[in-house]
Amino acid sequence: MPETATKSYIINGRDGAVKVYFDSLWDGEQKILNPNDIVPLYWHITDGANNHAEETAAGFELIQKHPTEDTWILAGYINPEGAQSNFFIDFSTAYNWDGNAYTGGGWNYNGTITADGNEYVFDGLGTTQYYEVLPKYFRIYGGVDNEIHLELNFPIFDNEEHWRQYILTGSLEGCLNSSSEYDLDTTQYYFIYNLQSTGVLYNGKMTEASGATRQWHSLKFGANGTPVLYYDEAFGLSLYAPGVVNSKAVNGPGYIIDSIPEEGWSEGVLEYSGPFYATLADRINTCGSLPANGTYSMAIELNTNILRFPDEASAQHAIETGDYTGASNYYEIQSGNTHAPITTGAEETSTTFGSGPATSPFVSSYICSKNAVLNIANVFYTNDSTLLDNIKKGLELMGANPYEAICSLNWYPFSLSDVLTALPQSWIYFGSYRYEPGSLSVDKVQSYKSNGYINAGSLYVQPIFNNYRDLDSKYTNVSIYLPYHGWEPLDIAKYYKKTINIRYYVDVYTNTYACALVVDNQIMDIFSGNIGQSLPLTGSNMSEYANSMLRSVLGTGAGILGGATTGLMAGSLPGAIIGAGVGATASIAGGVFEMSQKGTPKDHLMVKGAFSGGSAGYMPQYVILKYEIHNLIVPANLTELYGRPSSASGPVSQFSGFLKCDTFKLNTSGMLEEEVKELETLLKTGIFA
Amino acid sequence: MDVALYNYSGDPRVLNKDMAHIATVTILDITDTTSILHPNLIIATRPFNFNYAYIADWGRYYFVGNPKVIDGERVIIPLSVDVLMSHRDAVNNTQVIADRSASHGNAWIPDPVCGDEGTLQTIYRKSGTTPFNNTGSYLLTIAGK
Repeated sequence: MPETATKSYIINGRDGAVKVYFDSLWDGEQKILNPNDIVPLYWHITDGANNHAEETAAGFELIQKHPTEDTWILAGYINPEGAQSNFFIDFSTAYNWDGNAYTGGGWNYNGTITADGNEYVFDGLGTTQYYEVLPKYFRIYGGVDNEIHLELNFPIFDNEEHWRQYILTGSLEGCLNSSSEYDLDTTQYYFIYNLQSTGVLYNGKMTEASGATRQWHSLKFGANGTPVLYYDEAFGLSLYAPGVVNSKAVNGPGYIIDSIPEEGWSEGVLEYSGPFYATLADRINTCGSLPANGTYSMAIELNTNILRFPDEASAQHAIETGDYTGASNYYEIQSGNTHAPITTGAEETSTTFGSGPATSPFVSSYICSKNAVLNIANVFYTNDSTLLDNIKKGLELMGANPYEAICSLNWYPFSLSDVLTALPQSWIYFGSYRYEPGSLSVDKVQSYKSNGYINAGSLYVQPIFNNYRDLDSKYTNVSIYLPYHGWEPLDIAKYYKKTINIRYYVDVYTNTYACALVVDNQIMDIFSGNIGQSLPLTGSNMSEYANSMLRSVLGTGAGILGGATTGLMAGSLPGAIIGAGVGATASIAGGVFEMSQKGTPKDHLMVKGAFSGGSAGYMPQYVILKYEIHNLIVPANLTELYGRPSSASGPVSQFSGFLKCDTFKLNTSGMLEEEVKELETLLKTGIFA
Repeated sequence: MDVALYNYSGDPRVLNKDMAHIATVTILDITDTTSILHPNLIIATRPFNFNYAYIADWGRYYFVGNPKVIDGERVIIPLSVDVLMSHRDAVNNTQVIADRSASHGNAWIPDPVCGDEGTLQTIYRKSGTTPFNNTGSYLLTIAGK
């Protein structure tokens, strides 16, 4: 970005504002936000308020990748869908996370946002503010129609583990360095985010150093050149719709614009200030005088990025109307080039995921630590005859064989709490016998989490050449490596300039997964495979386990030991237990954990789609994108001497430089036949306009 | 009838040419059966520092060909019409669909002019986070309540 730029700072010609997505679950996960994500505000916040009050309380941090530096900045807003007229946000729950619940101080705030007017107000005022003083804020301000703009810049938890980070996708072109001044184009809209404590927005040339109290977080300019300053008080207590004339006085930094006196503005402590809007006339009226004439410039001194958002209500979003002559794709968007609206079928803009597989009521599953597994395993080698008798009594219907009760022991390389809802308890049941040794701690599985999945992160498929070569497999190929799966080629057209969110939907009872590549909330590709290790419980099923691993590697059959029953036949156990004794306990128990940590010895092959057992644990555990690029020779003077491929249309006068015409219509008035032919030849072979 | 003589240094395919005026001289004669598009003019001998001409009476611009000296005082200059400059207004107003353009190129249309350098570059990018780890979780399933 040139330091002396005076025009607009448009990012990638992006149409529309960045929207953010979040849900009401507080698990500290990162969610990738895409420019087109839309979240109905009332769904999440009201649902959270009504059903998961503590979850509503969690903070939101929206971060966006810096275009040139390896840092993140904060910005974002939410556009709720639908015609809901009331929004309820409840921040009455306390917000200290003590490991079990939220207690302590925090926001006490109840409010209703009405969307049936231009003004959005909060009814009610909280008395407790969050105790951690951060140069950030949480604010809701009005938009147009049913929009609400929610600007979230910091988490209101103090526990970083429970932050919700939302990553805004899309690359930014503009980045202003600190201490730089820029004259903005007053015909454009600008949203300026993430101003830090040294960031200052001011009108006119500021000759004094900015103070820490001057913190402005956004400034919007109207399309007619009038700066629309929108001010709301700290913590979003007063909200104004952009573009609406407000009667409140506007506070701002001292400055001089032409004849507008400085005293028309007053300084204030704005540590928690936010976006502000008011019309110029409003401000002038406050000042008590009008500028006689002349121009003014808005100069900015800040140390962050500028994002530009076109007016969402403008004709730029209407295909059928609007002036596109300034658009870079003008020649594609002209009257007569529009398509008929597609009206058949219900619109599908995002994939609706299922609620997960069912669980069996005849068995119980426990999420265990290694120590818990050892604790339970030692039951089978105990010398406590009373305990054994009790266990056998509890398992009378199953032949009184404790091993018959154990269906499976599996190990997974991720946290099961991501996919399963479980409650802590200190006992397990063998049949009807409750085994509670006093030192046992397990989490009993209740159900699969609705839309529970393993979030394997995200990757942005970036442009390489930023031209046709990006989408031509002769020049660019993209593959993705998925842990526990292997490499898969990607159709770059589906993922170009998109962020791929990788989700593993796991069935822990079959040790299978469906890995979904999600873009803009829609599934693009699904890959399936195996994950997790079934661990042997006795020596008698060790060979079966090994065989099943071999079968999976060779792709000849199901790769997972389908439950312990295959290895646990009646009569096989007593021999194992009686013959094993204490030594066997140690070896088997040790074998279990050795297997889970190291994998089977033969699983050294990288079999695409057929990973199994522990071998995949040796492979990269991160999702990896691979770009294979064929470099090209592009003559340096190609454009000057031969132009570039084009489909532009218009009069010759609007072109400059080399021009070779595909077709044309000559006005041959005054031309002789030979001249006409020569002109046609020249236009088709190329001229310099 | 006069002919204006110029010196032009640009590409002949330029539509709107800028040229340096040298002199305007009287056409002494025109050779027999001369064509208005390719006339042969006879003018008085003068320093041959021009390569472009304009005949106002015919409203056309011309490239100057190989002159022929008749005698010590006259020279024949063959001319060929420059259709671009002569009809530049009509050409400027002509509606076209461009095949190639220096000012209105489209980066998303394949360009056959660019050749493969023959080198393959491989770039890897990995995700910033992973949920997979060595600690993991155990799941024990037992028949029971």
